[in-house]
Amino acid sequence: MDYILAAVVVLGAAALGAPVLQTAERRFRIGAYASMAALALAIVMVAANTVNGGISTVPYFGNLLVSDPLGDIFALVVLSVTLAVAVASFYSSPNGPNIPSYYSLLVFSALGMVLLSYSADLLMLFVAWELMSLPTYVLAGFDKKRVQSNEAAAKYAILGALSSAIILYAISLTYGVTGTTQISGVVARLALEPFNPLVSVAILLFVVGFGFKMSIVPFHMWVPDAYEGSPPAIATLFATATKKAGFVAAIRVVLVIATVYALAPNSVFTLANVLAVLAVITMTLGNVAALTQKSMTRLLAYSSIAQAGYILVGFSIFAYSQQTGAFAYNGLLGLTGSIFHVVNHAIMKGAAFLAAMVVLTQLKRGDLGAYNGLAKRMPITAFTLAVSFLALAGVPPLNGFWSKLLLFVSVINTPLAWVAVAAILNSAFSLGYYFWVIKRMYLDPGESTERVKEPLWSVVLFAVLVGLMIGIGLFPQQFISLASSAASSVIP
Amino acid sequence: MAVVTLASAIFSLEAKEIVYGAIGLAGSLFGVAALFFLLDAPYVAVFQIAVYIGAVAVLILFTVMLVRQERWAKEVKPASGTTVAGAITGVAVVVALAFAVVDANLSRFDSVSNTATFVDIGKLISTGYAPVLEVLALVLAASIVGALALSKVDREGSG
Amino acid sequence: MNNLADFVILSAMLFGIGVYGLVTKRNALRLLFAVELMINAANLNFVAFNQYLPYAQQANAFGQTFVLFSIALAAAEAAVLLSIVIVAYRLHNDIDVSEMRTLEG
Repeated sequence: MDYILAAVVVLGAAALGAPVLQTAERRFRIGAYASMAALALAIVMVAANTVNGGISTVPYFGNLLVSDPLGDIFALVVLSVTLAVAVASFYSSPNGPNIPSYYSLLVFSALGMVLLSYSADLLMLFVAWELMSLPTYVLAGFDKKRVQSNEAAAKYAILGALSSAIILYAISLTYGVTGTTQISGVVARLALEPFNPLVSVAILLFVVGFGFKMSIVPFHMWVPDAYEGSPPAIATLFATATKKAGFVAAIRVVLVIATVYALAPNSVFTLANVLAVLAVITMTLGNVAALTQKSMTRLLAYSSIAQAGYILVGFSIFAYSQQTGAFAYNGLLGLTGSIFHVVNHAIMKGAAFLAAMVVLTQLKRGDLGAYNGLAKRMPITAFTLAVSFLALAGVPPLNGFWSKLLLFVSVINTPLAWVAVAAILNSAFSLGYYFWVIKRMYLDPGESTERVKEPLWSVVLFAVLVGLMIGIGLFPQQFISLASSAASSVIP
Repeated sequence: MAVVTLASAIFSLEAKEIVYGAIGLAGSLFGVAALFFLLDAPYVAVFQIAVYIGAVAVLILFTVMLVRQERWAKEVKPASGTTVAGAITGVAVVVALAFAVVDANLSRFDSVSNTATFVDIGKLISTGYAPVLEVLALVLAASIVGALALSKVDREGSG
Repeated sequence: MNNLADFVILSAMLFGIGVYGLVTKRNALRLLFAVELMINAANLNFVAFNQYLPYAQQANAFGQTFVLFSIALAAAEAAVLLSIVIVAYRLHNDIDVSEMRTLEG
């Protein structure tokens, strides 16, 4: 029984089938239901793959795709987020003739992300990357009558195309040096290779290309605009799903190559230092910019950039430990923290973005002023937003605390300790704007105290997400051990 | 051929009228196709001409002509600082890559050693990389669905 | 043009021109041109490496195959980008990214 293949077939069939239903008037709901059912089915199959250890009998499977815990975790995260986004858009977007295409594109993108998570060959990775990206360009501009949506799509699509071109160039250099694009083959060959500047250029280009999707500074300029301009449900998808896909691609390519190959023969210009500097710049700029924002979506976008910085901390200590041979335990701990934080970030940011989306659709306002006194008007939404902000700030006992703890502890007694200092200062700093919004919601008087209707779907989704945040926060062991097995599957 | 490729690449970006720019891009793509011929890879060269020039460049050209209007002609002149910065970045990238190429001593390979024909390409696509071809088909389907959803004109009140 | 280094340096120059275009231009279509140039630079690399390098013999035509895939993907990408441009044109008869001021920076 091949679960991943079955999941891929189900998703592909739903994605191809949904637009066919477009012709029949008033039948658009079938496409939406079919897409959601396919996503749910795919989640079950990937979960089954996780439990069964994923041994596959399909030919070529080992060459093009690899079934390991790392892929399982990321596939589960992106599928769940896409399902949440599909549910949210189902109840909030107006019906229209293009709706089946919308769900079809969502499923296409999810399929691309699943394939990307399991990729073992750079050709497969690149094609999956495009399958993930192309539908999201369209989805960003799906609101055809709104200029902002179109501009978000234009900016996002141009920078997305640029990042694919850079990745393609990096793959071409890798192919030139090693003669293969299979990642295990590349690693085996680079282990024999002495220092070769072409490989170093390729690694840096990979960091830049994936960096656009991971939204690390200085490749973040599209993020606030794209998040604010896109339909709100799609902004959730960007922040929580396509961004994670960037991280899994970076782990699969950059970090795996880093296990055998150093960027330069000296000890200053190393991948660990490059990543560490990027991490510190990313979190600092993200947090400082978040403080000055007046719109909720932009605040969340910058906070999302800052979180990418924390995730990079784990990458950097992993690269350091692999290249120097010292602090092996710290490296593994750091990567575990990164993967765990990716999962947590998807939950926390998903909750925050969906809450902001509910406020936007119910109150028709997206600026921070709309959040004054929200606790009286929309108590459930306000509570969800407050819990997710506390989790993002890393307040115990919520889930964000544990992954941040792992990340900070992993670097603390290594030469990269300065990153931990910067990260802790940043974390403390970020508490400022999180509490500021919470104070607005709970203490400031709003324009009215009248109850605003909170849709049932949002209440159900929020209950699940808040439950996850508190549940993982109270019982993190299971999740940490899963993340840890994913981290150790990276080392060849 | 190299000169033609690079010159029309620069022309495509710097031509005053964007229509000429699109034609310059087609010229550059044609130069690359000619280089593929020089490299003894005729199948890829023909594919490049048929798909890249025949479809992509023509698509671009049509879009350019479709959206070209009076307002379109006035393309904002970038500040001279931007041009200089862009030139410096571009040259820096080229120099870094060139150093890497020289350092890797790639010039020691001086004869085309590969005799692959379209038969080998076909074998590779239809055996080892068949799943990728299927995923590629999904990408094309997704792009069709997406492009149709975007460019279709919705009737009033049905958006 | 008779050794590998020439082709790879030529491809690097094409890539550099693309980077230059991306930094200086603000027009959506010009940016698309620049990206297409970068994709072509990578394709040239693939074919050159495939034809010159001895170890490419193992998977005889892999570099050429990769180029076929990447050309097809570039076509799909161009189609989506151009449909976004057409929507922009319908919205305000103008597609200069710098004139898109509705979103701040």
